[in-house]
Amino acid sequence: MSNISTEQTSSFWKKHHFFILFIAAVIIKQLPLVSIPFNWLESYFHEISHGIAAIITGGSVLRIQLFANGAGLCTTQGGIGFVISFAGYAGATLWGWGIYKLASAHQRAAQGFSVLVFLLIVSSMIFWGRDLLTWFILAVLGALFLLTIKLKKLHYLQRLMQLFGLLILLNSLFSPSYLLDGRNLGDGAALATMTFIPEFIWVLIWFSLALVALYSLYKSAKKYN
Amino acid sequence: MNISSASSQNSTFALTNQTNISRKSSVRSVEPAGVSTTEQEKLLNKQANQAIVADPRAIALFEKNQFEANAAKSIVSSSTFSTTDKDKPSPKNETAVASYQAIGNLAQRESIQQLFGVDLFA
Repeated sequence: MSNISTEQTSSFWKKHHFFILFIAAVIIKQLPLVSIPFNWLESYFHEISHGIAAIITGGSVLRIQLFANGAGLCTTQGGIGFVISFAGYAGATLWGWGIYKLASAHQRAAQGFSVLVFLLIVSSMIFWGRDLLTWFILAVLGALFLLTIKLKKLHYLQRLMQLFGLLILLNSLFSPSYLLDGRNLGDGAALATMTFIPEFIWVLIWFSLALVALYSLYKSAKKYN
Repeated sequence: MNISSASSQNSTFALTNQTNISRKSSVRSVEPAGVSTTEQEKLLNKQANQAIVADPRAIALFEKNQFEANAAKSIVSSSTFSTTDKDKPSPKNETAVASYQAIGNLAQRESIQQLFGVDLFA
């Protein structure tokens, strides 16, 4: 009898795990204190995407700053301005999508990726963090990923990484809308200055990218079932 | 301050001296006329008052001293304020200077950013 119920629970989880994790991510995002580290997570992946884009396009990262309210700053030197500006929100979407995808692919892949992200956070702390608050935020994020690595059951690690991926994706879905505040500041305004394409269009592009990524994960989860 | 108070004391002293002298001389000049004592006293008082009021030298000296004292006072006061208050801009001007310097710093910061090619991404 208990075997049957366990099998039923397992099949229900397998069938609807994407929706369960999605609802969990939405709930976590609404919780006042619990959501803070996850906002930092999205902010970190946003800034590191700027940094990686700068390095890829021949520039360098001078400093990464993270703030308690979820804001961030990346100071770069050289590189292609357009790519670096665009990479912030698009990169965060890619990170969220990638974390979820890799975690879904294999338990070992999830573990390996978790180690990689942890090392990236530690490197960011050493090379690009310049102030106490940024170090503290990066330390919290590092501890978060260290916790996932230390998990004995890889199954939980997999689910936790999927949840992180969805949280990053959800944040990158809604955070571009904060740019539409009429202040003409941020990546959208920078791109609008460079390309003469209005900020609103860039916000729409980032929003669409995040939406497509979310739909892609939903489709792959459905296919997996 | 010390200069002005000393000169005012001097001028007061000069005024009393002149008054005493004129009173004495008027007494001497009245005596030979042979009038009654009450009339004499009235006359003396009148003359004395006239001598105090009308002595032009005493007034001139007093005025001169007073003028010099005031001049010295103004020199002292102007020399005291010249080092501190005279060159100090008003609060309104200070705000203007601060705003002007802030704009200068912004331009300077921008030029440094251009020189080093640093970009900020939020």
